[in-house]
Formats: sequence, C-alpha cells, structure tokens
Amino acid sequence: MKTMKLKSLLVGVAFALGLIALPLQAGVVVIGHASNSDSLDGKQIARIFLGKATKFPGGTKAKPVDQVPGSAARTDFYNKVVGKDEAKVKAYWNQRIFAGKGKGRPEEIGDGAAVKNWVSSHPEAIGYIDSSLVDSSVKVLFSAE
Amino acid sequence: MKVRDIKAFRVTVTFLLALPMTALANDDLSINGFLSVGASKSDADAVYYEGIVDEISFEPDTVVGVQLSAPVTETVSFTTQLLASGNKDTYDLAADWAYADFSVGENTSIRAGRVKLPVFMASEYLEVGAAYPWVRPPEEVYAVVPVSAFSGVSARYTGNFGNFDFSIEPYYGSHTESIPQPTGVLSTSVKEFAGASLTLGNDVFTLRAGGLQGQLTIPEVGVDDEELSLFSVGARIDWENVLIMSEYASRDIPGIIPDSEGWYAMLGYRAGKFLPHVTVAQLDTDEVTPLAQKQKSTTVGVQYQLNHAALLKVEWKNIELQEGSAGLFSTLPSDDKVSIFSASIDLTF
Repeated sequence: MKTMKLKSLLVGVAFALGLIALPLQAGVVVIGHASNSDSLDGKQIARIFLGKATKFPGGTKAKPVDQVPGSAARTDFYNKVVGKDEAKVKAYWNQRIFAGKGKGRPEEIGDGAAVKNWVSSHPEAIGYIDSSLVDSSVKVLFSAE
Repeated sequence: MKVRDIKAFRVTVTFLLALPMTALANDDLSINGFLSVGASKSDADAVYYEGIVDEISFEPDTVVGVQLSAPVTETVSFTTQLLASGNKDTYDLAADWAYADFSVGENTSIRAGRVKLPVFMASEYLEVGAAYPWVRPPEEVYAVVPVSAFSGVSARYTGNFGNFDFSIEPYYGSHTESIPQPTGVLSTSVKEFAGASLTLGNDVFTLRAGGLQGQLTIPEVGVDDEELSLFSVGARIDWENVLIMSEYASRDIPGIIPDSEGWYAMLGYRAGKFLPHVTVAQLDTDEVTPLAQKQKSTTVGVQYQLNHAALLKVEWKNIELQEGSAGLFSTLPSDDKVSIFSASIDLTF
C-alpha cells in the first residue's frame, strides 16, 4: 500500500511539474527571413516542405530547410504542420528522389540555432524552430498550436 | 552468392560509398544512394521469377545504386542512376538510367536519354526497396511488363487544382533487351513505342493510369514488327495509419507469348515503427498455351523501421498455381502450392 501511494504521489508530482513546465516548453514556429512579408497557412507551408510548391504566395522563391533527424522541433513540425510523421515523409522523399523528382527537398542545416542562423541570412529561406529560440533576426511566419 | 561475386560486390559498395566523399566538393551536385540486401528461399523444386530457389539466395533481391544529379545550366540538369544488382551474373555497374532534363517554363520538363518507363506506381523506384513496404513489388503485376527503362524522350507537365496535384507524362522511344523466359532468352525489341501516364493525387490519395503501344520484334518466336499494347492503372490510399495499394496491368502481345493480366490489392497498417501488411494477387491469361502464366498468391509481411535510414522487412508468400500452369516459375514445380520466405534490409543514404 505504501509503495502504491508513493508511486501515485510521484506520478502526481511529475504530472504537476509537467503542467508547470508545459507553458515554458513552447511549440514549434515556422520562420522566414526578417524581410519576408508573406503570410502562409499550414497547407502552403506543407506544400513547400514537400517540394510541391517552390515559391512563397507572394511569388518569390522559397527554400525550405530542415533540422537534423531526431530533433523535437522536426518531429513536432512534421506531425503538426505538415500532417505526416517522419517515417511517411522519409518514404515520400525516397519515392520522389529516386524517381528523379527530388528537386525542392529541404536541406538539412543542423539544430534549431543553426536553422535560425541560416534563415536570418537567406531571404528565400523558410525553416522551423522551437519558439523559445525566436528573436528579431528572423520573422515568425506561422505558429503551430 | 559466390565468393568472387561477394568480393566484386564489396568493391562496388566500397566504390559507391566512397564516391560522395570525393564528389561532395561540388555544392550543386546531389548524390543519393540506396542499398537493399535481401535473402529469399522457396520450398519448390523449380526456379521462381528472378532466381528464387529452394535454398537461401541473396542474388534476386540484392541491389546497390547511386543517383547523381547535377545542374548544367539554370534550366538543364543531368541525372544518372548507377546500379549494381545481384540478379545479373556479376555485380557490374550499369547506368540504369541517364538523362538530361530540360525545364520548359515552370510546369513542364522534357527528359531525353535513357528514362524510366512510367507504367506502374513504383516504376520509377523499382530497385529502391526503401520506397515500398514489400521485399519486392507484387510480380503478378510487375512481370506483366518486364521492362523498366527505355531510350527516348519523355515530357512531364504538372499542375494542380484545389488540393489535387496532377502530372501528365507522354513519352516516345525504343527498347532492346534480352529477357530470360522459361523457353530460353528472347531478344526482344520494341520500336516506335508511344505512351502516356497520368498521375493524380492529394495528401491521402494517388491514382495513376497509363498505356502504351509499340511495334514488337522477337526473332526467337517469329514475332516480326507486330503491334503490342499495355495498359495499367493503380491507386494508393495513405490515410492516418492505413495504407491501401492496388494495381492492375494487362498486355496484348502478338505471337506465342500470352496476353496476360495481373492485379494485386494490399492492406497495411502503420503501428509505430511496424507496418504489417497483407497482399492478395493474381496473374492470369485467357490463352491456352504452355507458356500461360496463371497463379494466385497471398503475401503476409511486416516492415520495421530500424532507424532514420534503414528498414527491415520480412515476408511470407504463398503461391497457388492455377490449372497446371507453371506461373512465374521457369519449370513446373512438382507441387502447385509453394511458399516463399523473403527478408531484406533496405537503406537510403
């Protein structure tokens, strides 16, 4: 009985901590160059990251960049914004690349800081980072709930 | 695999793996590779399809390839795919396809050279195991058109309406290939063939249909410049955790090679890293000839994602030969019910 209580107490504490931590651990946001004046919805972003659109809605060239596999922001971005998990996205690109339709595949840049850095210096860039990393060097184009 | 083959294979793999290191110096060159190591074993006393026998063999499902793509100008690029495949006698490198791609405006491109025949859902990535859930796509359909590339030109126009993307790919060319058949090797050549394929899809649903016509010559069986036609249609639904795929193909061929039609239907379910699937398939013909290929099969398999780059696949295929036909076996096996076990590791880099 005692262990049971202790366990549920621990679970409760962990849960409470999780609840407290939740607002601090913010979601993923899609970022562009500070000069980017486009407004995009999730579908338009998904089309750019799947190589189906090569331009921003305003008509300028768009270059999507990825974080490295395994990053939490990448998992979040593909699940919440693109609407496909990473396994599906990987299978999708395997089919496109080896069919000779791999143009427009996002380039892997690095972690969130590296992506922010890259986007801040490339006007055509579109990437995603954890919202806690956002600063004035980039512009938030979309934020995933 | 013979020791000599394994050595040659190792050398090839080492060469292919070393290639990116030296070539990466050029920023614009894109390099993608794939490797499938597959093993299969049947319980039949006859050779099945691309060399599956009653002892464990690696040849039929082992392949390594590298695709190089380089821009020549703003609108022209060059792409080649080098393949070393186990079902050839040696692991010699061959350029499976090599073409120049010309962009004409934003939605149209023209390819010239050795291009893939865009007939089936998986035509363009047949050798890339990591692009589909089976160890090999159902041969009941894919053997109906045993040709995957040709010399000629193809155009591709892409567009979209609403959430649907579509592409239209007309093509024209010729093809010469020695195709092994139960009766011996056939020196097949198809001249002046023309075809088109239409692909339509959104996030969940993809539909592809295509047809082609050409003039076929096979001296060994007395076919001289006679008309050949092919038709195929396929659909894929990739919705939430459910994956459904189905394809149908038919061929109309002059001479003693039978007109045939094949179909399959596959249901899969994504459960985390696992993708279990079941496929039923049939290859059939109305013609009564010793060459008639008639078989039904059920395949049960699972794909497991080892990591970001690699998949492990295991599958068990149960074939029932129909009406005394040898199906896709080279000779008639003594039992008309055959099981084949296959496993592979497929990766891309």
